[in-house]
Amino acid sequence: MTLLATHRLSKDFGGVHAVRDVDLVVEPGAITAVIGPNGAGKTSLFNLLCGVLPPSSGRISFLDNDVTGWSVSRIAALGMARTFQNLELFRGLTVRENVQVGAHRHLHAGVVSAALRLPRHGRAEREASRRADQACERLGLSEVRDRLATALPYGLQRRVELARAVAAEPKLLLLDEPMAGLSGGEAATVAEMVSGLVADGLTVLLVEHHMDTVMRVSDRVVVMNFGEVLADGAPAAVQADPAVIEAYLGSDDEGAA
Amino acid sequence: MSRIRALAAGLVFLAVGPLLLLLAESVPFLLASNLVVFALFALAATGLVLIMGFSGQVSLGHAAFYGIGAYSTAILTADAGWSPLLALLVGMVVSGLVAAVLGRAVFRLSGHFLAMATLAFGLFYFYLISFLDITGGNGGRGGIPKLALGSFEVLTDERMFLLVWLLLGLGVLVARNVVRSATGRALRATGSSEVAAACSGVNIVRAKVGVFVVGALYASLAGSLYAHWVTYIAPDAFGLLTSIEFLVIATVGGLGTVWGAVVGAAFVVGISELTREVVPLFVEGATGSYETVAYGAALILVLVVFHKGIADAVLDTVRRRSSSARVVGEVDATPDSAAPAETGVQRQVR
Ligand SMILES: Nc1ncnc2c1ncn2[C@@H]1O[C@H](COP(=O)(O)OP(=O)(O)OP(=O)(O)O)[C@@H](O)[C@H]1O
Ligand SMILES: [Mg+2]
Repeated sequence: MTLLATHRLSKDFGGVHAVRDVDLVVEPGAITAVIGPNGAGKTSLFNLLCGVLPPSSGRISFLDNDVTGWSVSRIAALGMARTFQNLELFRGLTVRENVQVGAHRHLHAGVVSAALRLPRHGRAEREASRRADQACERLGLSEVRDRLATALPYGLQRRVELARAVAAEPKLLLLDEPMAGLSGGEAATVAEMVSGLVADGLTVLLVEHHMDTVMRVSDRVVVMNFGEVLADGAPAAVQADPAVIEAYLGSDDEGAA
Repeated sequence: MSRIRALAAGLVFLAVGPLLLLLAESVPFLLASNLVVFALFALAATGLVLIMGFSGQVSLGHAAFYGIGAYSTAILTADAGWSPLLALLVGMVVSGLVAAVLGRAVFRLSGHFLAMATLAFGLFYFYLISFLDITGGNGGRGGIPKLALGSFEVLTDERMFLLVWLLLGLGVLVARNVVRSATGRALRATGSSEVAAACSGVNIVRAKVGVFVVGALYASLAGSLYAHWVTYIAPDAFGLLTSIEFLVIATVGGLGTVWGAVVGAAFVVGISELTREVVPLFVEGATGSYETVAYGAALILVLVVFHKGIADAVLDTVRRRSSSARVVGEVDATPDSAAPAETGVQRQVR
């Protein structure tokens, strides 16, 4: 079964073709990396997939549903979760609360059951706590669970973003540069954690500039340039592709980072 | 822990009701009827604290829901002879439905449309009750029976106050329950990052509409009780000025806590009674406008001193005292949250 498929997906911003005719197919149970130079359209592609941006043209199918034009929360409820390149943590909420919000799609209790403290509410809250604690544990955040998320050091904030997405137990997890700004050691820890999640059956789309990490953990690499897919294949094959070398790896200093 | 604290707060609250009545007996210008007004306003405005604290938007039509409750009670008990309880519930259902329709229309749009939409709705409602026959038009309508639940009759102001006080306590409890729930958490999250909340599966429109409906129910309940208490109602009690009064109560008290409206109403009703008494002592032959000026000045002073409301300031002081003893070294170090830990989120109820 195909998890996600896009058909000629495009997004224009005025004259800029941020994403152009992208046909992307993601099968379950692997890490697919999406790489490309700055401004290649990777984040825009993610925003299209999760419904944050409406496409200019093209279609998106996710879990056998045509989700083109669906609301963000509806797509998320179906099983897509993501992290953000520029952290989007909930200010004023503890780490645990941040991650509990991540589990929101599994909670089926509305305002009324909360107001009257019906059993439904209690079940939902226990469910939220259980999922949040589990996700915190996986990402090594148990110790700082009760701290304000935005008060943590930057490296841990990145992990809270991950934990929040993981708590959704998504069918597809979109990670937008989860290692940006991390030290070598921190980045390695995160890479290990992501690999562990995939080993447990999670499907990941990963945007990342840390090239050696990408080549090491990914099962497949999609290269974007100027909004278009330039190459798509196994890491080694992509690395050897002359078009890729010219567009990205060969000319870009970040390739060595 | 939090449950014990809630229980203690509840017991203190129950004890304060009778104490206020005793106070009213010994203070010359404080009447039991003032206390009833205070409790009714606090009840209605608690709903507004929920709405504004969570949606981050201003509602200028809260008095219309107060009016829907009042006129439902008037028409159904006086004309149709229904029991007060049933009439009150029907009023709440109607208010809830109206709020759901209005909320769905408004929260779908991005931007601050709630103020305009509720203003328009409030004015529309005001003109409606001023013209319809069934509401008695401009002159209003009477004949509303005093509240009776079975054989328990609420004839005196003292009884009325104790009843509303009890319902106010329950109202604050329900508000606290909403704040501490998945919906409350999701809306606090939304206030910080709408996109991340939506990507977590939070249906922001539905959550905001839900809170808007709950908030409207408070006003409706208060309106029904008001109708039974005064037995005669007229449109003036449900116009823009009343909406603004609710707004002032919620804001002065504080949108950051479920106690905001209780504190705000005590202050607003207290100050307006006080200025009525005190101003004439200083200004010979003072008329109503002097009082209004003094009242306005007092409100501005409060908002300048406590930007986030009186209740918020009080709670912060209490929290800071108890938390500095407990969590040492857990001080929030990031520059953008120089405020004490829990006040990081402004304008949001907790
Ligand atoms: N909201 C927007 N409005 C206008 N232009 C945009 C918007 N978002 C992105 N763009 C443009 O679309 C192009 C692709 O941007 P995008 O952020 O998707 O690139 P990226 O591959 O994620 O880059 P980076 O590696 O720097 O994160 C860029 O030219 C960018 O300026
Ligand atoms: Mg990007």
